[in-house]
Amino acid sequence: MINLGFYVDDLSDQETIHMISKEINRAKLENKIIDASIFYNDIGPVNIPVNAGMFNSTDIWNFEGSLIVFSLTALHKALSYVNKISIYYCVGWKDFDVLDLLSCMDNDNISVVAKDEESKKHFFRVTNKRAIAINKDIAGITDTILEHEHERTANH
Amino acid sequence: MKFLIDNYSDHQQSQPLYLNQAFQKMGYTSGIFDITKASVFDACDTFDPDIVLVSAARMSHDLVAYLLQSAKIELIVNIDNVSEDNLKQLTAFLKGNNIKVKFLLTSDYSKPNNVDGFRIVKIMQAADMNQITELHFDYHVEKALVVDKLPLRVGFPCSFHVLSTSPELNGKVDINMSSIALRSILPKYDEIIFENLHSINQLFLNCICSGVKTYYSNTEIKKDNDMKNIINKIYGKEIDLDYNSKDRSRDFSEISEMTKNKHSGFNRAKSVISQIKGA
Repeated sequence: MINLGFYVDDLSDQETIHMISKEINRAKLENKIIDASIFYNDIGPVNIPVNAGMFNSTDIWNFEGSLIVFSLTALHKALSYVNKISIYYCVGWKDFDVLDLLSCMDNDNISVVAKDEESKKHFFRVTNKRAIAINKDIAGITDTILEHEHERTANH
Repeated sequence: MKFLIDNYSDHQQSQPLYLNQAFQKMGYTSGIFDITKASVFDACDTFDPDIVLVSAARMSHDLVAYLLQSAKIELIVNIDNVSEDNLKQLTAFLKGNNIKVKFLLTSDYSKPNNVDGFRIVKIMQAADMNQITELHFDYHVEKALVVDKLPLRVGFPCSFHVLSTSPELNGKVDINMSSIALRSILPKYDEIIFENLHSINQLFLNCICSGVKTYYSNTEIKKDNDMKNIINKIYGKEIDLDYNSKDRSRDFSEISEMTKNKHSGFNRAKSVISQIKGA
């Protein structure tokens, strides 16, 4: 079981929050997560019940676990924290600057999950690195993380 | 001898910057300024140059006014990218105003040696070898494709970037930066391929200098044999840099050293100095 965190730019992005909520509910039902948190830069109305704590991104310093980010801005911010966070960057959700992405990827603490096959190929083309999985609509991303963390521990 | 150089660098070349550095290394007093931003009168009064190097496209009224009242200063005018008609207008203007011109400077070898009584000195583009800021991060990508227009299709089965120095392609290729800025990322690639290379430019020479395997792929240019001849002439030996050739060169250590020794900004500065009597 893991502590799962999501870092979004805008809490009122209903589509993203709905997708996150669905995954949290599924993972909780299957007893795969201890706790779920959503961190945001900009606050806004959330129109659906979400089974997670919501915090301003300035509180990430207090988080320990696996943090899922969707943009390079969020990735930069997450990288600036030195606490025990495994970062999972979801590629394909937001446009990125290639050099900016490459500068972030020069870090062993980041794993990449692709939105779809096209994003996975594009990510490989520009970074020469492989995404660990494809999770359409982030469905099943908890399982991807659990497997990856397990492999990582086994390798160490 | 004192040189005052207008910084007419653009996305493709940094000639004024490397000439300035080289002149200083040779022991001359040389300074650089931006004619579009700084006052020509202040710059010339303070620096008191013997020679002002400026690009034809950036000649200003202030510079002409200053030169008209100065008996000492002589001009070197870079005429790259100046059309034949504009060049005739420029020389007529310079002649009409009795502006002292040492010579006109270009890297375009198709231009004549003399226009309207003005000597044209031709120097090839050069590799800018001066210190640049290194990237603060590392990466490795197999190929880089350098383009000046959007490729119809790119079909490498490996990791690759599409690079360009053309400002028009900003946001349309993976990395769009000036030639001088691209230098910091060149060693991150195994191979750099210039698509439809029309002439040897600064970036091409800098790529070779970096030691990375550098090729051209002139699939849209019919006379691709011309590029082979140009390269052989420049290096004085048979070198196959055609990406589509089976026998293309794989070892770039020798050609890289040759470029550093013969085609750097320092070499071009020496060529310029050699054309100035008494320098």
